[in-house]
Amino acid sequence: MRRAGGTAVLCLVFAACAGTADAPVRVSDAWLRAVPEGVTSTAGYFTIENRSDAPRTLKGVTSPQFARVELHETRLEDGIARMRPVDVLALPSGERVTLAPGGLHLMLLDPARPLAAGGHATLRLQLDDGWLVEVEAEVRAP
Amino acid sequence: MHRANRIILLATLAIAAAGAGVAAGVWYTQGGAGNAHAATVLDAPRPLPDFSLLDERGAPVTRADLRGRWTLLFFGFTHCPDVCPMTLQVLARALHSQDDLPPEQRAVARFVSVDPERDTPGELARYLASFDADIRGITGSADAIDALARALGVAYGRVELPDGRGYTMDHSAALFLLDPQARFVAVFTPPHDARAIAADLRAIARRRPS
Repeated sequence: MRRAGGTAVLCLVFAACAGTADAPVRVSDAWLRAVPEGVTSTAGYFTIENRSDAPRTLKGVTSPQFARVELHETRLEDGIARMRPVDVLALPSGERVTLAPGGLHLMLLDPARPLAAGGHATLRLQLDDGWLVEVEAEVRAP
Repeated sequence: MHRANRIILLATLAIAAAGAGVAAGVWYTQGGAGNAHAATVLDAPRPLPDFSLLDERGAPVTRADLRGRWTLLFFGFTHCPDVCPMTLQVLARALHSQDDLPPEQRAVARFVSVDPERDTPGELARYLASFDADIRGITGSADAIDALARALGVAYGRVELPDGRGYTMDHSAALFLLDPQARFVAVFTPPHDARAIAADLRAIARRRPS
């Protein structure tokens, strides 16, 4: 994977559905915080754009480097940070949804091994229509 | 009360601030250069009660250990992969912007666990090792953490996650500034900005020389 325009993204698309059309979504700027030895969770982020004419849904994310990946959202309410699971992420047609620190994020749990800054991890995004989009996310310093 | 079912919202920051007699905005009317001011300074420094907790190496920490330096406290927990690292990064940048000052005049930071059940000293040490700055940890008994949080008006509470996925902690995202006598003197509310925090630290220290 090479860096392109400040992002480190490779989309390998496996069309579970028929046809050879481009993936309905484009994922960019995927990254996660480094995981030091002994640390059991970290956060990941990306921007996902629904380039199709239909609304889509991100149903879930997996990663071969982590036992579990959850969608979460941090909300700041009256100065209190609250982190809550998000079941699915709606992707309106033609719009971008950004996961970023302090807001929507992936919570990646129980890494198989530590991940140092500069490395990569694989994220597999499952869409509601059967598409599976694979993204290489850059590991950055916490 | 069983701890799992306990929601400790000790006080909202606003209530705590009102109770402490915060003079928001007044502090900077003479000193500012038009930059964003992140701090709300208390009218009068509020001494902390003494406490007996542990640092990230398992060594005792008491109020006396917080004397001698300006200290920023952030209350969080290590199973917090998003907002806590984000805040600690801002803190690290604010601390590094003091590198021109003599070491004894530089503020330090402490990460206080609101989840001492999971955050052993070892967990804190591993978590904090990622941040290249003078940020050390505080953990210990739940009661002692409660008492320290209460003294500063820090709100936090345990929230069970669905489907048996464990729990998370709601917690104040503010930073609490102690003076070199370990007295609570100011609070920084989010969103945090490293440059604004650094500027305010200098302004406050100038006006309240240690």
